[in-house]
Amino acid sequence: MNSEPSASRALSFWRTVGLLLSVARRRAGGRARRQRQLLRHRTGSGTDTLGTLGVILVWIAMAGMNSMAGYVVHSAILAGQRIQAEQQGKIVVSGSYFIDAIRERERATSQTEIKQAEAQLENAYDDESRYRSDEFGGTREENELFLRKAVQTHRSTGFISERNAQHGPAYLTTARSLPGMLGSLALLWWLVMMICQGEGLELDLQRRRNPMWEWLFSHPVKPGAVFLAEMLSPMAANPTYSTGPFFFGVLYGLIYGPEVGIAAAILIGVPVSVAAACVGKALEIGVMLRVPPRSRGALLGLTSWFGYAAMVSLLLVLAMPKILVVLGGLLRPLATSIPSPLFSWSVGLQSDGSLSFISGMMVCWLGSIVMIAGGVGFTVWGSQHDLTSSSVKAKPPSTKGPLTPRFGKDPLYRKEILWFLRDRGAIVQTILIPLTVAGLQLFNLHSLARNVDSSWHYLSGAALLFGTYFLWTLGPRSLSSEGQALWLALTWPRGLEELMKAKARLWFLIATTLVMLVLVYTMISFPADAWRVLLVAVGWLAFGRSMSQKSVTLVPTPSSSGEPQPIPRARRWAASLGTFTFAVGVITLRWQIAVVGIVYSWVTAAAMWQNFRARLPFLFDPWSEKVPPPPTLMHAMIAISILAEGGAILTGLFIVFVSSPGEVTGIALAQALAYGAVAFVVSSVASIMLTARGLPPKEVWCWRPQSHSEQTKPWWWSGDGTRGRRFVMSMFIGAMGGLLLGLLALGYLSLLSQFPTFSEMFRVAREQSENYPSLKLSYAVMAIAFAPFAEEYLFRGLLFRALDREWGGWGALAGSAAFFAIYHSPLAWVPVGLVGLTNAFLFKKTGRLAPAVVLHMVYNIVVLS
Amino acid sequence: MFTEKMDFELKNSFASPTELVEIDHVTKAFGDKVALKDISFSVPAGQLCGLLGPNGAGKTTLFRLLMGILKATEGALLVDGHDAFEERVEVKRLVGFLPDEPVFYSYLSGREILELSAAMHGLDVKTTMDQVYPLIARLRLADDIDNYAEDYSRGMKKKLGLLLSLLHEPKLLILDEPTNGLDVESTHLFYDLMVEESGRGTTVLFSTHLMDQVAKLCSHAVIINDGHQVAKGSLGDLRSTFAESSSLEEIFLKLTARPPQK
Repeated sequence: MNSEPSASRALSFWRTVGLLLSVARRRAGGRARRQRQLLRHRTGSGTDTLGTLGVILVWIAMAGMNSMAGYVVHSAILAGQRIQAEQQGKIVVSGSYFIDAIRERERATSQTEIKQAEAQLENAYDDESRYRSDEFGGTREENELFLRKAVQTHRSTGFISERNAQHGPAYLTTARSLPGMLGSLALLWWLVMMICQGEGLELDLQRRRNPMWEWLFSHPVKPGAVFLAEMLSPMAANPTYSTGPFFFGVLYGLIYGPEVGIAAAILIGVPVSVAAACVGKALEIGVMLRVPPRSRGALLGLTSWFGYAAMVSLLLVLAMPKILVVLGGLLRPLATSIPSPLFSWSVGLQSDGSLSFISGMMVCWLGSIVMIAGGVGFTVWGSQHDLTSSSVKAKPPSTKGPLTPRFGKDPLYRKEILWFLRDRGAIVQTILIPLTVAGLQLFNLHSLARNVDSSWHYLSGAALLFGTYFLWTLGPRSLSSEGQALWLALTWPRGLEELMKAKARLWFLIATTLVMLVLVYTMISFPADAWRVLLVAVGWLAFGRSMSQKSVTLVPTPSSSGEPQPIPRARRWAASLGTFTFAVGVITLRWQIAVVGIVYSWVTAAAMWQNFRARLPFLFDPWSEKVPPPPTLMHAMIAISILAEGGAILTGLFIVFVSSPGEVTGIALAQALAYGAVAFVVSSVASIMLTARGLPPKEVWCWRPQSHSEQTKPWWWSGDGTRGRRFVMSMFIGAMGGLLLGLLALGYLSLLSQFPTFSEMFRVAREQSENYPSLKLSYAVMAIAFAPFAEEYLFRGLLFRALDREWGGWGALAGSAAFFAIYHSPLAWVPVGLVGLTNAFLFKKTGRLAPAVVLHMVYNIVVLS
Repeated sequence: MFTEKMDFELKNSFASPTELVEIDHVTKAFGDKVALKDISFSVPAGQLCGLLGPNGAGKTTLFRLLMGILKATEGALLVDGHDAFEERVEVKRLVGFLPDEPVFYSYLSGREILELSAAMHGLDVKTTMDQVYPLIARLRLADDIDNYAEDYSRGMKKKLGLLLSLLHEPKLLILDEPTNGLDVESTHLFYDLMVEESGRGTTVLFSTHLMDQVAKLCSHAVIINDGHQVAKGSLGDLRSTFAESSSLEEIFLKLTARPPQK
């Protein structure tokens, strides 16, 4: 009666672990295979080699990162020893040659010797002050003055070379010392970074529940074994763990020599890395089991973010060793009172100053065992109450007070605000991660950021750059907060477009809050320039709104398998065009560039949205996706950009190969020729391409109303009469308009020339055109024969027409006029903008480009004469 | 004046006679994979029609086509005379949809989701909530309506989904496996509601793989299998066509029979 059927014998602890690990490995393999299949399906060709190369590259990068972390611990000790030496009244210099130079000078007796030694010392001052200012801050002059004073007061005995001051970790005699403390802190920092890595740099975490556990625990297995296997899984997924041994390899290698370093990597690095992975996963499991659902995402996101930020900060320390010196200065008072033996223990430093590899290894093994056992114990304890964490009930949302949602007005925006306020993961997703990425990018641009504290425009420019990056990172995440609940939006008659725009508004709100904080700080620091900063703030309000709308169009399509789809590179590239123009304009104090940035950003946003709107209905059905009807804003913008850029490039080529440098006539001629050629080519190519898409040139020149929004109403002067009469009439109106606007422009320019700032510019221009008649002629050819046709075709025929579909009415008129104006000299923005406005209006009302061409031509003749 | 109105009504009834849903030779392909092949049937206004099919037959794809989430590769789907894809905004005003596994925003309570949905349908939120409250109580959701919808049980989520689909008093209800995962009491409640809605003139189209549901509720059924439509008509017709089979379940098994896999 006591012989049980053999089928239900419980598995042993280690058999369970082994079984689950092999399953995990198979699962990872399957996932990788599936990713390769998807990639091949998308690109249509086998890119296995690229994928493998990517994996290898990531592994190498992580190995480099861990090695550098080992080196950072070493540098922390050196920095501590340097501070110690300076504390004892010595000045540490980079090499002994500086001290030698002082001694030489001291020893010198004869006139020639003194002269020689002095020259040598001057060189030494030069090198040393440069080294000091590069490594530890301060200007070169300050450092040089400091060195000269120190030489006068202390003579050569006051100096010590780095080699003599910074003995290295092997000479760490007591745990109660600054080097020991800095080294221990760096070691701990690395360990915490490793623990927080998780399964990889998945920055937005939607993992909230692991349903597999329930299933696993329905088997006769030991919970500890299941959790241990689970905890070992990050090892396989994240190369940070598998390259962890490099850290110990470098650390021990620098103390004991390379052979021992290799041994340490294997004997010590492997168990410590495993332990770090276990503790990290144990924390994650603990969060999943014991924290209510809306906080889980936040906590996991925070740990993952911290792991990422800690890794970045290690690299930062390597790039700026000054950080260690500053940190050491802050910690100095604590170092002698608080013992920090972590470093000496884990590298086997004995209290008598001797080194013992075995003792270091034992300490690390003991630490690893404690970490792993602690992790398993913690998870088992956490799971003892309830697995599915249904006991962790969340309080119902408060519906009283000012936050009471009514969803009457602006329901989607209210929904986004509630998400931001209630889901604690929102802060991580929308603030911390973009903040870190933007900060990292700013560090890359630190040549700009270096001057932030010196003038208002650097500081406000940095704020704008930061805000721009912030939106750039945030936009593509727009649908991740929807998750599986996106189906609900698809049942509403107002659909996805409003949802995306509501998200753009929230991103704009968050980014603006952060940017404004910096701008307010700027205003306080530079009260004299407060009004300029205020103007920048107004500019940001105009720019940021379009930037946020542009960036949400980069949202990847949610696929049924849950894997995010990559955003096509062309779309990313198009969205990035002119992104930083506004910020750069502010930093370089060129207001016209800033304005160009704002206008450009608005029109790009409209172009991106025009294409995005055409794609939105097919978000779940990419097989049926269709391109938007031509002409789109994107077509127009690409053609106009090629016109502007191509003209400039061709001019340059003409100058280099045809005319002699510095010759004004040649440049002007080249400009006119190049412009003409490019205008002709661009217009022709655009026509051919649009014809292929079903829009022949005839339909661009004659805008026949196709849909409801493109309907044109007949005007009094074109309403009656034959087609011929209407045509003549409209041409006449075009000519008169050109004359009127031309005269207006002349008046405007002569008004401008009354101001001293502009009069000088006008004088130079006038002189040039008088001295070189050919210059005037070439401009005239360009402005009368080429520009009216090409520009009317591109700016009115394509751009305005497409923008009219997007914004309609006055918005499209003003937008296309502003876009037309920014392609001209800032002096002429007002009259050219008026021409753009009138021509767009004429085109819309008459449905023909010809009157606009006439107007443009007459206008150019009047202005040039 | 009078004649004008007559004209209008005549034209309207001419455009869409009594058929509320018309599916005309619809094929849907995802790349090479054909999910639905040449489906044609129509559902007159007020009918309670069951869409039968084994797992993976294409029922959900058909519903997504009707909701305008997918576009038919060939053929046309009309809801009250509107093209399901081209006029999807109009169609969404007419249709209430309950998916198989409704998932909700984790940060909103049941009440807030109802309010949000009402606002998105352009309804007055307060009046709508007052109107819908008796139904909330009838579905036994009143105690939990202020809790986060993410913490609801599967059945409660299904009930909330049903409430959402009824908020704007749609002409057509599309219910994907409505009683999947419900207890006996709630299942009967769902049946009652479906019959009531149908009695009020609402057209109900629901999918299921359970025969007894169809036999109990519907007068008509469409059976699809592996993307193909294998039978349609009133239950009586279906029974008489397959005279030798006594129950609907036997007919279904016969129609959807597949060769055994090796």
